[in-house]
Amino acid sequence: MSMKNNPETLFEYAKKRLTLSASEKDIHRERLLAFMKDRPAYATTPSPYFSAWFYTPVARALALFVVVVAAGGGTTFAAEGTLPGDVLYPVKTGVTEPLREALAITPEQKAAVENRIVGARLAELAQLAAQHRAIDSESLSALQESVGTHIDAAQAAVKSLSAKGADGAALQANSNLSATLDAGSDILNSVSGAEPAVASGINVVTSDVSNAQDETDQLATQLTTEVASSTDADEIAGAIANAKRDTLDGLAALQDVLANPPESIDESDQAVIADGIAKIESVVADADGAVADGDDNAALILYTDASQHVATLQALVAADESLETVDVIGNDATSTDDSSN
Amino acid sequence: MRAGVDEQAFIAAYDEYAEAIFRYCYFRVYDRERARELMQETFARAWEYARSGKRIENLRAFLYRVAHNVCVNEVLRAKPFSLEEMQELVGYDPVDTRARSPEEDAELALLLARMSELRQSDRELLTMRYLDGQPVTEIAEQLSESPNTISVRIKRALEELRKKMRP
Repeated sequence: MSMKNNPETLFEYAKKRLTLSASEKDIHRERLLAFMKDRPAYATTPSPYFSAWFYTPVARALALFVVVVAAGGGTTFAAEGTLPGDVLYPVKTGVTEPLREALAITPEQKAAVENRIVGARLAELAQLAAQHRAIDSESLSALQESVGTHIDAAQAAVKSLSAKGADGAALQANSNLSATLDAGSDILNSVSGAEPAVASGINVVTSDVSNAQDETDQLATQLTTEVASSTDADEIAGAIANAKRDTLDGLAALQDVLANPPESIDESDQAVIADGIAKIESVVADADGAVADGDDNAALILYTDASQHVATLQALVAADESLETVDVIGNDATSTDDSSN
Repeated sequence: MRAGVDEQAFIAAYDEYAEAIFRYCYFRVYDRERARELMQETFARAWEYARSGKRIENLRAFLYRVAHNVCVNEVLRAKPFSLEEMQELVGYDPVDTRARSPEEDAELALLLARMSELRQSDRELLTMRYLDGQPVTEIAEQLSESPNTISVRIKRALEELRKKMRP
């Protein structure tokens, strides 16, 4: 039977064929054992990625309980959605995030990891406020410090990309950070408006985010100028491919939301999302036109702009779904800027 | 996985995941020997991290992340492999001594050639999903993406591959 039009069946066949022989596997096993013998495991010491708190008997017992309850997923996965004050929160900030940072080798990877952590911190603050959960001044200070530290790290990664001449990648990374900050700022403002009792605590963080937005905007202006005059065609082409992929994937996900709207996305929200999608599609059309005209530098700027708006809109949709008591979409937050019109 | 990965646990992980990591690397470089070296480097770097006693919650996910980072620094060929090149590659296989039909080899060569025409990120996703059988949620966790986005990307990548494979 022919398998030509059935990649899934061919993958099964490829799986059997693309394999290591027993002798190859043994050779690498021996090499690995020799390497490990030469570099043995350190004596058991507490990991620096764990806070002292996590080693207290009560905390460990509680964590173990949660891990057992969450059996089927890993502890990391269980910790992913935790908030300050939750038992597994130190796993997220003390294990998962440092691990991701440690594994990020290139400046692109570093920028992406730091950006994601910034988004996570801002989302946690919004969740705490929306759930009317008390946050003491120490936790708020820790959260504020974490936001600032990871924004700085993300910006440093962007500058590092720019310094090595990867202007397209730098513009994209900066744009991703902008999307996170823009969405975070809008979400926190919505929460602050809905929950006046926690507004002062939130404002401490939104003020820092606002300053970071200004810095990111300034950097965007500089990077856009550099991209516009870049002569590194390969780098620009690679960045275009990434930005276009992010944009189209994000648009597909947003269209899925419209096709199967969750309960929290009411009709007016859907109208705002549809409007956002239409504006983004028009930017994509312009970008495609620029590619057709051979003006890749302009195309990259347009695709990056589109991907930033997609990311912002996706973050707002996600927040609207998760923050049950707050309507995030439906205000100015979801409008794209003039460049997309 | 568990805190404090010991030698025994790490070697057991090698036994379990070496082939999957090898395949993952293979679809980055399309070179059997280089894929073996990259697989070896992946485990060496993972051990370097694990031996310090740092926690690794999901060793399979961790190994893929290390493999991804190891492969990302590879100088990749600028153009995709042709069907003829892939037929040559598939035809010469000193490892697989089982009886094989020319039809099966031809179709495998076609798959490999068309896969090489896909974007790197699409190849990576299809390898993780269909060759290694990882669930979408696990891939999403490894790539720090949402499961929705990963589902969309896999669907688009598979559709793209189907299109390329049509006669």
